[in-house]
Formats: sequence, C-alpha cells, structure tokens
Amino acid sequence: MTSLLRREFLLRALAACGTVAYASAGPRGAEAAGAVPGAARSISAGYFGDQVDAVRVIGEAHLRQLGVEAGDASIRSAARTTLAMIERARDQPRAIRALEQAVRQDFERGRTVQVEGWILSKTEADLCALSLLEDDLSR
Amino acid sequence: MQIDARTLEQGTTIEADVCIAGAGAAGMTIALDLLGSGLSVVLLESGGPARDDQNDALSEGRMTGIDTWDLRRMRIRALGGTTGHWNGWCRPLMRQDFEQHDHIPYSGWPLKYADVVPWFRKACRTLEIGEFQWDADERARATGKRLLPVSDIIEQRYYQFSPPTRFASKYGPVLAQASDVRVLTFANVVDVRLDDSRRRVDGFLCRTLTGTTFRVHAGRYVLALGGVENARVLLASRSQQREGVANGHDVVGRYFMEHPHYYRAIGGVHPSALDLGFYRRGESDWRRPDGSAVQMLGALGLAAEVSRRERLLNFSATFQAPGTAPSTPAPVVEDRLPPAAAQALVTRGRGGYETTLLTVRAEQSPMPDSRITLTAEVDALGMPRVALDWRIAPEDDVQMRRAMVLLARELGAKGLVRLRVPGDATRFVWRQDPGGHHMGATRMGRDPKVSVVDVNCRTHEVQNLYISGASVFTTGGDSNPTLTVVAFAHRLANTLRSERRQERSTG
Repeated sequence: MTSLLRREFLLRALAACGTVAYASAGPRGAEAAGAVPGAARSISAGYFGDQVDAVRVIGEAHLRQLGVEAGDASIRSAARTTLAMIERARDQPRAIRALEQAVRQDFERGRTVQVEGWILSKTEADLCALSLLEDDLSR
Repeated sequence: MQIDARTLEQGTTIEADVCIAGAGAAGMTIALDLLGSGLSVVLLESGGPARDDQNDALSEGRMTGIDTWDLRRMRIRALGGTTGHWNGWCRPLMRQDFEQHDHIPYSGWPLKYADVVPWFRKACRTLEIGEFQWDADERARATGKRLLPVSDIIEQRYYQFSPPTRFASKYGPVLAQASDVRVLTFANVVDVRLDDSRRRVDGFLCRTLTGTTFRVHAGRYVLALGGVENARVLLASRSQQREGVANGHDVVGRYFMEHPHYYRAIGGVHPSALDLGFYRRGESDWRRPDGSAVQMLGALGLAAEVSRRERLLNFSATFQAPGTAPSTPAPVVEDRLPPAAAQALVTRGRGGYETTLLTVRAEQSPMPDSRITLTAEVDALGMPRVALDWRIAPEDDVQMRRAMVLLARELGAKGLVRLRVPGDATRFVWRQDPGGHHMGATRMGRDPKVSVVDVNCRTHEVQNLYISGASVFTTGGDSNPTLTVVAFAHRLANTLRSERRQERSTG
C-alpha cells in the first residue's frame, strides 16, 4: 500500500474512531451487522461504523509500534485485554457499549498510545489491531 | 510640548525631574501618569511621528540562536513605539506565572499577582479593552456562547483585543499639549553616565542622527526602550565601567525569553456539530464609549494545579478559524483529513466531521545562556549592535509534549476533539516561531546575582535608574505581554509619584 493510501486510510480511521459524547445513537454497524458474539473483527467493524479499511491501517501502525507481527496469535496477545472485554459481553451492542466506556476511561486514566501522531486510547488501538485478524473467532 | 531634538544646540543640557527614554506603550504610560504630579518630565523618542527606515536601521542586530523575526522590522522607532503595528492581543500574566516553581529554574517574581491587579485594571482602560475579568464561565454566559464541556483539568481562557490602541494618535496629543512634559523626538540615548559614586545616574548622553549631541540631567531616569534596547543601552554604556551600567553581576542581557509560538502545530478532528463559537474571534459583551464591541477569543490551557503537579510550563491553545489563511509560515500538517475522506465520519458513522488546527503559545524556562550581547559592529550613532542568542531548554520540549498529551486525553475522554501531537514519544517537535515578545533581559528579582531590577523596577546597582517594559519580566507565562507591560508602567509611575511625595514630606 502506498504511503498516500495508507495516510488516507489512517485519516479515515481516525475520523471513524471519532467521539463518543457527541454521538447520540449507537453505532450504525453494530445491530445491522448482526455479528456473532465473540467475533472480534466484526465487533471492530461495528464499533467503527464499518470503516474497515481505515481501521486496519491504524491497526497495522499500532502493531508496528509495538514491534508485533501481524499474525493472529500475536494480535490476540497484544490486544488480549480488549479481546477479553469483547468476550465478556453477551452480544455486540453490549460489547460496543463496554468498549465505549473503556475508551473514555483510557483517556481519563492516561492509557493512550500515539499512532502516527494521533493520541488514541489503548482500547481503540487494540480494536483496530483486532480488525486485522484472519480468523475471526476469538478464543 | 514636543521638540525635535535635531533643532537643539550642540551640547545643550536639559533639566527635568524625570527622564524617560522611549515613547512606546511603557514610556508614554508613565509620562501620562506623571501629568499633574508636579514632576517635570522629559520623554525621549528615537524616532519621530512616523516610522522611517533610517531610524529603524538603528535596531538591526544579528541572530545567533533560534531564528527570530528581523529586529529592525519587529520594533518601531517612532512615537507610540511598537503599538504602531501591534495586533491588540491582551491577557494578563496569570496568578501562577508569578509563583516560584521547582520545575522552572529561576522562576518566582518578587511580588504576587494580587499586587499587580490594581494596575492591570488600570491597564485595561489604557488599552481600551473590557473589564479586568478573566472568568471564562462568566464571559460565556454573558455572550451566550458555549464552553467546551471539559473537566477542571483544563482551564478555559480568553483573550481580549484592544482596538488596538495606537499610543501615538491616542495619547501623543495629550503629551504634546502638556506643560510639564517635553517630548523630544529623534533623540537617542547613547550613554548612561554615572556620578562619581557610580550609584546614581548623572545624565543621559543623547545623540541625533544629524549629529547633535545633548545631555539630559534629571533626578530619576527610566529606560523604556523595548526588551532588547533596554539591555543594549545598559551594556553599551561602558564609558565608565567596562561591564556597562547596572551589570555588576553580568546579568544584563541574560535570561532572554520569547513566547515560542507553535503555529498550527496540533491537528484536530471533531464532529461538525461541535460548537466552537467561544473559540472563534468575535464580539464580547463589553462596549467601549464609542459603542464598538471589545473582541474576544477563547483558548484552552491546563489548570494551574495540573501544571504544578505535572511540572509543566504554561501554554494556551487556540483553534484556527475555518477558512483563514495563515499569516505566518509554518510547517504543513501532513495528516490533515483530506476532503476525499469526508465520508468517513468522525463520530463512527454518525454525522459529519471537520478538521482543525490549533496554535499553541507557550512559556519558556528562563535560561542565563539565552542572551543579548554586543557585537563589534556599530550603528549610525556609533552604538554597538546586538547579537540575540535566543535559546530554549530541551526540557521545555519534553514538558510541552506532556502538556499536549494531557490536553489530547481530556478532549478525547469527553469525545470532543481528537488531536495529533507532533514530535516523537518524548519531545514536542515543531518550528518555534517568535511572538515578537522580548522578555527577561533586565529581569526583576530580589537577588542581584540573578536579576537587574528590584520589585519597584529600580536597578539594584543604580539608585535613580528604573526600567520599564517586558525586559523586567522574571518569567513570561504564555500571555501576550502588552497588558502586563502597561500594568507595570502604571505601577512604576505610581512609585515615582510616591517617592516625590515622600521627598516633599521629608523636606
């Protein structure tokens, strides 16, 4: 992927990360996607309103910064806390609400990462990384 | 009364109670306040009624540190001084700016914010802004604008804008008509002459560009020449002392500070629905006597206790107004959200988004090695030109990054704006532009080893020599300096009046 395309994707993803407080309704993709609980990649897509390509770019950048190979096992390991949160939720809407709360708490408690300059919550960045999973069944 | 010094006879001596060198914001304010005090005043101005190249050339100097704006263009040698091109930004130094902080070397003024407040109030009137009232909640209520709903980690601030007050046209005629003030134009101080004790000024030796040399003999002397020239004249007055005047501890010229301006340094993305009205320049609820509205502009900083706890310098961040062309060159933000990505919504698929840029105006730590020195080059009057070695401590960049991350986290937590912070994981890296704010080179303090003037702006070493202007700032905070400069000028005038009264009462 060219750097220009990467940047475009990254920016789209950042836009997709967006904000919580100014959003009045739940994520568009969440209910509609009808994702199977525990399917991390689907949850990620739902959380970010199906901005999948852009989200993947952030995920890649995040993993690069962590020095982690983009393989399923290593992604699951790097994002295990976020993955566990998703797995604890009974369905996708609950998972997304939990993620929203976690993102807010990340910012409040200083659990942030800087991805290509942008200050993101650790949970968000993990979620972006989970969008890179080849095997969508989290375990 | 206004006199063109070029018409004086060679070798003239002019007597006065107070001689003020420099007819800019500081010097004119002092002269105005001394009207009717019973003190006769001579106000010296290097230029005339209007700016001209020959006079401006006297300000030329070399930059040997961080590149700053051309000294020749930055300062105006004419009646009114730099108020002739000032943009009118007003905010006082803040309470915490006067305090001593362990993480800011050489910080701590010898007086408190509260000591200056009465003079700040007066300065607001001089500069034709609204009240001395800086509570953003109150201002938002009064103007019907909304503050961003952030926690108390963030301190909401605002600037007020002077019309801007051009001192030459606003106050020049008052001084020209005053019977107890003589305004001498085209008069340059080239040597501060001391008496035999070396503890008192005996006179200012002055020269015009046409070659007329004359002397002013007064009871008290004030240098109000600007942040660079105050130091330059003291350093260059070495006819009797090799180190210059008031410089026994080699402090004059050191601790030079600017306000590093990081123009459009912070990228931001926010929902279109976000109301940033308070943070756009617009009318406040205050009206001047002529009916015009005082303009204001909201800004964000960190709360004082957060800065203290996190050991950070002060800063204020403003949002760039949409559609405004940059007036100052700055690096390009590479990752601005391009229009093509507009379909990717900032709110995760719900509603539109907008991009923004934030400009940060920051405090810098005082450093003895950030300094003004003299060079071997001389100007048309034979005065040595300066070398300005502006430096910023590497630790300042580390603090700035931490400050920006705290701001980003709070705005992120509240779901308001996502920020992009330039630099790496440890340091804030962006071009450091100046603000034209020359501070600290004759700083105020109690200890003569690290300061030049005392709490009353009187030099430690020379009893009847005072300094006015931003060069007396101990630390610079992040606020534009003019309001504080004028406040301290009012305060100094009051000191001079009090001393006069005291002398009269003691006979």
